[in-house]
Amino acid sequence: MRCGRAREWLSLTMDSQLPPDKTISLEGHLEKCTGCRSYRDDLLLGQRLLRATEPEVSENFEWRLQLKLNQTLQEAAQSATLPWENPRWSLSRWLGTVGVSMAVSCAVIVALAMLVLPTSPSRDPQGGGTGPAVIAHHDAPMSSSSIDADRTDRRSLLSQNSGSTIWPRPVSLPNSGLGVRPANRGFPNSERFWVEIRNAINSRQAQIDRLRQENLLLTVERDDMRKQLVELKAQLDIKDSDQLDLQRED
Amino acid sequence: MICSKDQFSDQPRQPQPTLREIRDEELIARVQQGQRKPFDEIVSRYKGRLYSFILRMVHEPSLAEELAQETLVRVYIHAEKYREIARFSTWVFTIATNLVRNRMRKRSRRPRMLRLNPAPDEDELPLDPPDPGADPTQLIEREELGALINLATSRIPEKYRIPFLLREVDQLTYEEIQQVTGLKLGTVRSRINRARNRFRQNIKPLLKNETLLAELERIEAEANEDKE
Repeated sequence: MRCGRAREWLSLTMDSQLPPDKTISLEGHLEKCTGCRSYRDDLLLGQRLLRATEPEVSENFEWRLQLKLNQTLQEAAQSATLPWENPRWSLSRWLGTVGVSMAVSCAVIVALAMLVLPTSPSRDPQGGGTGPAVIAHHDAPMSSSSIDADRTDRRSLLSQNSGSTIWPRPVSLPNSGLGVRPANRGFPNSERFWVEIRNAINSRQAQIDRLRQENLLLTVERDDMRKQLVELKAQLDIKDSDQLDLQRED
Repeated sequence: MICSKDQFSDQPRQPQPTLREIRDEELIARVQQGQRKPFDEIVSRYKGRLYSFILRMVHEPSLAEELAQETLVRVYIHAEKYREIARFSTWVFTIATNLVRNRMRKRSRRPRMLRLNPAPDEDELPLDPPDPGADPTQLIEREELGALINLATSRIPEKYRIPFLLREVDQLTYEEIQQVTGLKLGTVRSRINRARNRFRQNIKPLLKNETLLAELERIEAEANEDKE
């Protein structure tokens, strides 16, 4: 075997990549050739030197990693776009996904509204006839106990008046979250009801505007803090490089 | 650790393994589920290896630290992309290798400064180990030894140096190096062989130093004590 081939095989045998039969012939060559034996010893010594002199990472590595990770996550959150701002967004894709689901949910709401809203005037159980609706403002959502009470009332009313045809007492609409509920008796006064709805929407809109302004202020504050962070990082880098220079001089 | 009985059987409950005992692939699976502590364990396992590999490629400590951190940030951000088809270390070093290659490509595009009386190229200068003749008992300090080894490594051409370091220092298998670098298996073998030969030539003056072996054995003994 020639030394050139033997030295190639030496590299493979260090990584257990040489087949057994070739390993045997290599060992036979090494017994006879001092040059290749010396080459093998040098390779093994070089491997030991590399592994023994691995550089050590600095102590504040993890702290800086944390800063970098937080910064990257913040940038990723800011760069997230609304679907219609994405140039790859297309109306057809939107219709395919969001549009269909919105259409289905609208259909469900309409169906529920038709079931829930009264279809004819109801008799006042106390003999007062249908009066104007009383619209009550409630901040808390309608509790299940009050819904159950309505159902119970309806059932008891029906049982009391068996034999005569009466209209079932209307069930009040669930709280829409706007703090408005129509009256339990008769038809709601539609004009007043929708006026109240409009007022509630306006107040919510004002709330949204106020929150947007607060968001703007917080964004400005965040940008200032980010600038401070960059400055501090730069100062830290300068300090570290000065320390390195001092160490080199020593 | 207290072992209590399982409430559904009389068998003693197996103690939960600590994060240190869990393998890398399991740790990243937990990170994919949204846990943060397993990622801290991944950082502590890989920061040294990544920094060592990258520093020996780029030879600037601040840049090596930056690229090592960038690698770990990408591991965290894109954790959901890892699939257990390959080992986790292969995936991490693929990210690191790509970052290093991109940075070195950018560096090579920068125009070189012209010097009027250029010094001989660094590759042509022999390594200058301490002269053993003056004082044979003079020990080579560890830092000095490390600097000489880094210099010897820097003189290996980049295309040989990547598979060489991945094998010698990070102990990836040939198949893993093939996946990381995208090279054929035969190419990986030949490049590692050539890099070893080149490295041997670079450190040959060092190998004649009588105190080198003593210092190396001292460093290895310290490292073994730390592990225990």
